Order: sequence, then structure tokens, then C-alpha cells
Amino acid sequence: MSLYKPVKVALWIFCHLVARVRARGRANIPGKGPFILLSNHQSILDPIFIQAHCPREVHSMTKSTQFAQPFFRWVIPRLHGFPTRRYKVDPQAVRISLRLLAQGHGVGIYPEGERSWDGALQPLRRGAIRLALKAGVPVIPCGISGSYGVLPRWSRRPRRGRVTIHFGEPIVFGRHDHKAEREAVLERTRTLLEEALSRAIDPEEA
Amino acid sequence: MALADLLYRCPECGHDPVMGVGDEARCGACGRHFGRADARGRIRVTDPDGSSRSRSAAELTRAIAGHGGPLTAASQPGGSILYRAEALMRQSTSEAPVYFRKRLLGFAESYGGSRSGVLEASDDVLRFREGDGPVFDWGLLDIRALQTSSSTVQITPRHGAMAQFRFVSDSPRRWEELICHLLSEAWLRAGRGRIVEFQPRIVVR
Repeated sequence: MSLYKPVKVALWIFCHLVARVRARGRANIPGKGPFILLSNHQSILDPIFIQAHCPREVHSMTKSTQFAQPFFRWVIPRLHGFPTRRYKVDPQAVRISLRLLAQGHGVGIYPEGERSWDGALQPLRRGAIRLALKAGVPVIPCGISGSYGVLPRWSRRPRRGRVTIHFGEPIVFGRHDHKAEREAVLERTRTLLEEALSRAIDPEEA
Repeated sequence: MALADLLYRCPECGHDPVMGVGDEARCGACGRHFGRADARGRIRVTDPDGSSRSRSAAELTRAIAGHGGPLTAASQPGGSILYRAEALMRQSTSEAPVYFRKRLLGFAESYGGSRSGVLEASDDVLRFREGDGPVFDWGLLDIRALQTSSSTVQITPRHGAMAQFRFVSDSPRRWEELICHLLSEAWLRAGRGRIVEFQPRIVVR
């Protein structure tokens, strides 16, 4: 039983109760076929904002700690979340991502690895870049702005504000099957993606 | 968590620590007050004379880094580092498979019971003392990854289980920065190179 569609409606309502949400560039999400959605991470609410406003279903790489409690272990997979162990290299998370992409799904990744303490974009983890290079599918840089103001990492009280989600234009790096190919372009790709994410984040609301 | 977790020392005068509850914090030395300013995540800084201004969180964290980050309170005469705080420690005991529709999605760790004690950081070791109970040591050169997860700090040693620390009255951000600094220094001293990434494993260049 997938809860994705009914929960998405509930999430959309929730989003508009806690914030004035504006989604731009929804046409940049491919109508069909695989894609990777790379987003910055300012708030615990980001996955909710993105899932509610992305026109396609997104399977999100979720930190394994979230699966510690039985309820979340039951519910997160039904919302298309799958675990990744961030305290070690997790080949299973990569396998699942590649399998989902091969099946034509969208995979969502927060390449900073953890919510930003101060709202600023943090360096992107290499694992996410390697996955994008290995998969060779369109990468959508998704800049979320304003969610830090709604609920920053250090606060427990949400405050209504304006949130902008900007789905950027797809970037296609091509498929890099061999490790040496990926490593050769890793830093350049990371810089390119960090620049694309920075452009997608609205400076007025970041 | 609280604003004092972000602003663990005063971004204006550098005093360490800043005290506070929830979305408010106050520096005991210069008397400045910090609070959540508006829905854009900016922080209102109020001087003792009542004048106030709003600054972004990123500006304030850069100012803390400019004061030396977590190091002043941890530095001892002679240049060595020693810092301690009350913490709850849990270790991962196993990794259980997560299935959905009979397909393996991945693995998630399970944790053992929580131990209450004091975590100490020094130039070469992280040590957790559980009251009168056992002492756990992790040599900095044996730590393979460091990360924060919500309000906790997690370390992955080369041998043994991942350990997670939740601080009773100290900032996880301070500890993240402190351990990052200590690891970087220790690895550099040992000739292993400059650490450029701490998770999912330490990468040096």
C-alpha cells in the first residue's frame, strides 16, 4: 500500500498552512523518465515542501536514523523513502537509487548530507555527485528558499513565512561508467552543481 | 534545540558560552540579547542600551568562527585542548534490513541503551566516562567518520560500533566543530594529510 498520493494532498494543505509557498520551474521536471532531484536543505520541512510541489513522484534518500522507530520504518517506505547510512559508505543506497532510476523514477537527494545550521549552502558530498555521474540521467538542481525562516534547525517553533521552490533546468552530465572517468570530472561537476544550486536559491528569501 | 546551540559563543564579543532557552539567547559578558527576528530566519541583536539590528544567521556564525569557534574555551596553557560536557551516549548494536513489498530497500541501525556520563575531547582522544562505570576511548586517528544528525553528534570508529552523543546542556554544533578541528589537527600531525570531508568517511588530500 502506497500512501504517497493521499499524503501528498495532506502535505500540500499543511505546506500552505505553515507558509506561503511558490513553486517555480515545475516544467523543468521531465514528464517521464528518470531524473535526480538535488536540493539544498535548510529545514526539516524541506522534504514536505518538495514532495508536495514536485509534479512527479520522488523517491527520497532518507537518513537511516529516521528508520530507528517502528512507525517510521513502516511509514517512510510508503512515502517513497529509502534509507542511507551516512556514517559509512552505503552501497545498498546506491544500488536502490540506480534501480529506481533504471525503472524511470525520480530520486531525490539532499547532497549537503544534513540540514544547514545557518541556512547557507554547504559543500556537496561527493557520493551524490558520483551517483549522478554514474547514472547519467538529467539532474534537476532544486533551490528551496525561505524554509530556514519558517523552521530553522535550532528552533522548535515554526513561524509562517514565504517559501520559494525553484526547480532549475536539467543538467545532463552523460553516463560515466568507469570509476576513473567519474573521479576525473568529480570536482568540476561538484563546482558546477554548487553554482547551479546557488542560482536556484532565491537570495531575497534564503 | 535552541538558538544558543547555533550561537554557542557570543558573535559580538566572543564570550563563551552564551546562555539561552528556545529562540532567545543572552551573552553574560557584554549583555547583548539575541532573538529570532522575522520569518526570514534573521536574528535580532539587541545591545544593552536597547538599540537593535537584524543579522543573518550566516553572518553571526562567520563572526563566531572569526573569534576562534569552539577553541577558546577548550584551549589550555601550552596550547593543548581539553573540553568536556555532560552527554548521553548510545552505540549502534546492529543494522536491520528495511523491506518494502518484500524487496530490500536498505539497512538502518538499531541502538543499545543510553548511557549517561561526561564526554571529554583532547588532542588525541575522545573519552566518555559513565559515572562510576566503564570508560570508552576513541583515538582521533581511529575515527573514520564524523557527522551530526539532528541534535546529536555521531562518530564511526575503525573498530567497534558507531557512537552517538546527545548533549545535556551543550551545543551539538560546538562539538561538531570542535571534533572536526581536533581530527583535522591530529591527522595532519600524523602526516595523513588535510581532511576535506568527514562523512561518510574521512577523506584526505
